[in-house]
Amino acid sequence: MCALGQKLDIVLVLCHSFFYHAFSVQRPVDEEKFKLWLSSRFIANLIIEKQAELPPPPSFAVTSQKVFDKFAFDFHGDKPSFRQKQTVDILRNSIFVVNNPSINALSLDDSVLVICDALYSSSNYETILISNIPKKVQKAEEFYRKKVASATVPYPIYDTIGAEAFLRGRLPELCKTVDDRMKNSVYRF
Amino acid sequence: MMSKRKEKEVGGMSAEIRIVKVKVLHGRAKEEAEKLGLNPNDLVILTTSVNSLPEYRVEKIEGDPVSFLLKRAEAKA
Repeated sequence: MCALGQKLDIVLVLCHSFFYHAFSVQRPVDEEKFKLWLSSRFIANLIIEKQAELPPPPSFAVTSQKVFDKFAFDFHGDKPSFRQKQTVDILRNSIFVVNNPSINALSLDDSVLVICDALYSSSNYETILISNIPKKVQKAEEFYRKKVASATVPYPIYDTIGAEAFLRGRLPELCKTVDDRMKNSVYRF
Repeated sequence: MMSKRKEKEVGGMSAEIRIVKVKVLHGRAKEEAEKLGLNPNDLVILTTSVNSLPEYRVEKIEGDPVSFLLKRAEAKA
């Protein structure tokens, strides 16, 4: 929320665990993993849905080149089929992938934390980090405390279940559209 | 669905592929969507091939986009 009470545009910063769950073909048997998988799938559909109405480049969801490359490799391996490569290209055009030499040199974790900090510090976006790794909060705290011992993480870090609840509150119409598409999907995974 | 030959042609050219909503399409891309009888809120995969005058190919997404993409990726190209 900005000073005048006007809601800022949301930007989701995506960690590798989000991609891992959202694009996993196998529906998990374990209940907790199933909830993460389903909420990740929901958020991925929401990102695509929102970006489909916006002019390029993508501005709703962001990740680092390193995270995206890892997702792409995990998705199609080193010998992608034409369709697998197209799928990755399609997703790349729905997500803003930050390709910056300084950020590319960082670890997977640090690359997204740097992007979050840059967005939080120098833009008008409401930045939200999405990760399904419970230790991400601790890693983010350590990241900030390297510079200032008392520093705190200035933006929220949600797992996909928490992020879904947040987004349902903020984007109810769009979420309803996503619900309808998921309900009517002819493909079941 | 695109034919295998068409996909290879697109793969060989400079092509951009993205998901868009029909209601934001204009010009010849919109005409392609209209030929398929799509609704403004339908999602489509829009492939733009640049070979002097751009070509637009429109493929309707059935259901939710992630499931559709995963199913599509499984198909042999």
